[in-house]
Amino acid sequence: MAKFNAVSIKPEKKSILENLRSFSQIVVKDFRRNKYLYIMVAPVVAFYIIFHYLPMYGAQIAFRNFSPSLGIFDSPWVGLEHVINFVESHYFWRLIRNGLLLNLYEIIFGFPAPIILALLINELRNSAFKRISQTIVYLPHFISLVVVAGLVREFVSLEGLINDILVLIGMERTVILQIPELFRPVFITSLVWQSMGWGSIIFLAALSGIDPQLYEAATLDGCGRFKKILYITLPGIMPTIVILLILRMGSMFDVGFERIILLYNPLTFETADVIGSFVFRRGLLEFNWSYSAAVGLFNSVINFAMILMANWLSRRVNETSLW
Amino acid sequence: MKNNTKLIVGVVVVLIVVLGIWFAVGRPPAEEPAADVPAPAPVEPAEIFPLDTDVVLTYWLVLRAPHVAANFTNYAETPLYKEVFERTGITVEFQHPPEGQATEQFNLMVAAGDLPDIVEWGWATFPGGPAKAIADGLIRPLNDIFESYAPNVSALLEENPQWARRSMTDDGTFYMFPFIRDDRDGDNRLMVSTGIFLRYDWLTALNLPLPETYDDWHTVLTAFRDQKGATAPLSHDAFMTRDHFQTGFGVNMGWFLEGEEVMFGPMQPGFREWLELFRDWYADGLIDPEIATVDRRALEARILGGQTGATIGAMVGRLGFYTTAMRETDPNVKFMGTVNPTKTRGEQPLFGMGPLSQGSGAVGTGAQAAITTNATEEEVEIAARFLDFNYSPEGHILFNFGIEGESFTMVNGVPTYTDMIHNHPDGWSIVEALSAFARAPINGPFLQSKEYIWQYAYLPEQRASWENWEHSMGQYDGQFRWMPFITPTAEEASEMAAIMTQVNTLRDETVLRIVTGAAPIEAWDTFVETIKGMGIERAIEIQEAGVQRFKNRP
Repeated sequence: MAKFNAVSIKPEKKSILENLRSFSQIVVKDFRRNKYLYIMVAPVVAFYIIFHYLPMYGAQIAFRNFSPSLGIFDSPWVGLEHVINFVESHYFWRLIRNGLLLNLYEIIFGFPAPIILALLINELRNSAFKRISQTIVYLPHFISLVVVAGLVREFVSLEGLINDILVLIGMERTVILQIPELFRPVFITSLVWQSMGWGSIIFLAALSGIDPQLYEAATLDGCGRFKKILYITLPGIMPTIVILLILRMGSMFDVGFERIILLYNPLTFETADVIGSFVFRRGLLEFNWSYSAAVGLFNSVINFAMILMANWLSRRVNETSLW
Repeated sequence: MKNNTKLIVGVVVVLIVVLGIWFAVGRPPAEEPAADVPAPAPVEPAEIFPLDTDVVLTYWLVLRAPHVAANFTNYAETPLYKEVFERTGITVEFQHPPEGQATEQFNLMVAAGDLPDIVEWGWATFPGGPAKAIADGLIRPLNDIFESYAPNVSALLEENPQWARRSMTDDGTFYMFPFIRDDRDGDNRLMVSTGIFLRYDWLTALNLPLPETYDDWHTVLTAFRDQKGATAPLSHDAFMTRDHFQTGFGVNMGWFLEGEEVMFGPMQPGFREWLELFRDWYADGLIDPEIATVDRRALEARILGGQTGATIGAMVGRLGFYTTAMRETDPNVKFMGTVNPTKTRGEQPLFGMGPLSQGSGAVGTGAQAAITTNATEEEVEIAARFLDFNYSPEGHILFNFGIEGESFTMVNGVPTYTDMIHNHPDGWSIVEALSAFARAPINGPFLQSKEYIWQYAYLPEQRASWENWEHSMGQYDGQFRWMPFITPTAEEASEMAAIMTQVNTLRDETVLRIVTGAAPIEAWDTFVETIKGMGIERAIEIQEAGVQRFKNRP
């Protein structure tokens, strides 16, 4: 799949009219030949249209002053007012910086973690032990975020486990959640802990698709386990890794602000406050649908640009890309 | 090449279908404007219940936990509402949000415009103000409805204009069936429910009097730290919302009045003094080292574990709760409330805890019931009558004391809770037992009775604490400094939100950084300069305009 996508097509020069005519011919011909495929794909297409494309008309409230009594189409236009309002905010750059940095750290530390875990699980030979450990590492994924945040707060509190360990190795007790520099490590660690097991599933699936004959051949050639991982396993799942990385780039500006508001406090605003949490606090003062829509749209546009860039870059570098 | 062509064809077909549907669906029709309320019908005589009606109302409200939620999954199952249904002849289908998700559910409901007939919520503090809730077409103006169908609440509001003015928007529009704390005859017993309290048994053992000045407090907290082993002598949650230690410096965390002028507390020089004091106390280990992160549960652990000796909280929910919980192991534990501290002894704080700490007075806190625009004309009448019943003499007794012979008996003309409430056969707490029969311990659309409180907060020290707190309620130099209950216009609300989200962010950061020693006291000077750039002056103007409009209310 990845290969044929990478092939670029260079259409011959034709007039627009000619293009249209030949295009409609192709459509009709294609439909006739594959009508069952078209019928089969119809529900999926309908799903996306109804639940993903049609609701997009609502995004226009970002440029209006939405009031539920007037409805979407009759609320007055205000143009870019809400976006400008946000961009001119005193904290705009800090919010952008924090969001980007949290995402960057998450990619650096959080993205490789499930891959490494999948490789480790893959190397386990005792299948009972393998299944049990897989289940154990999945479990945190199912724990509610509020509970996880509660656990984290407990662990890092002044009399919590982490501080006990710090004292053991001769350091001072500190109020970890009140130190801005420590917010990012705490946030990323809790995130990785919770999502690593779940994230490894897709890589394990990719691992099972590797031809066992390759391993046999490598054994004959005298490869050890580490060499096999390096020369067979990793290249085997590389397309999956790249695709997931590109997809991940598409949410460079999104941070799970729920996790943040459960862990932050004014002392760590400096490193913890992101767009989502800022808008959340503003929402406590005023219900402003249009403002949040504008900020959300702003976010999406930047994310969209990021994913385009990542895709382009990936196609340039290693011929694997989303489209 | 071939495969690619197919792919492109597929994508284009999808696009065509999407666009086709888009155009076919087109613009949804604009919503019909709400019909005008009909001319008021003649006022009904008092005896109209039980009504003969088939209308089933829908009514959304929070099922308070643990009060009601501990034993019931729906308000309709409680003895209270079974009795209300029987007496009014009206059936109501209650809808409750899942525990802990009330705000999310409410926001969703509002955004979707999908409201049941009656919604009980803090409408007075609706983000953007109640006027916005009306302008957005969520809830109905009630003036005509009060006049036509709600004789009891109308009479109450007419007799007590101080309540009426707080139940309306600036232009005189009633928008809710209010929760009223009975403060007639200058009786404040329902008005003060929260304050500073501390371990009285520790004080007695240390031979120290109740602290009144900041110096007293320094002595007391130091003694708690050194002699009682308290690691967090003074601690409370929601640090940025408590003003009790600041009023002695004549400031608070938010807005207050100085004559005609509106002041933003954190900008005033007194605020800097308070910051310096708390910074020193924090550095000395007199304040919880985790002051920025301590939450209700953590605080509870500290109090019950004897790490904290002084805190700020409510008379029943905190003081009463801690006392009951701790006496199980140590019968000598005693908490006592004290006045807001001042700089010199006997001085009256510039403003004390204020009625209900926010100056919102008898009306404005708690949940109020609004009738939504989704109710039909017929439902509006039934809903209004259903809610108005709560304010009738009969409903007043029912909502505060429950059913005679079951939850209360008359003793010397005063409704008195029975033993079943105090010692429930199934081991329910007094909170749970009373909440099954009455709404007095919670809130809602009714008039809260003065007679309930000392039967509910029955510990002698609760009453003594109340007296101390009430003493510092603060009408210093005859002026009332708490902000009146103002409602912004929609445009003002938007502007305020834009300014204040930034100002509050910086305020919270600066205060906590200075207190914990992460920033020098000079950070406060920078803060004052910076918030001027954020538009605090404009916010003050908006607040002053709101105060003027409040004064001009009908």
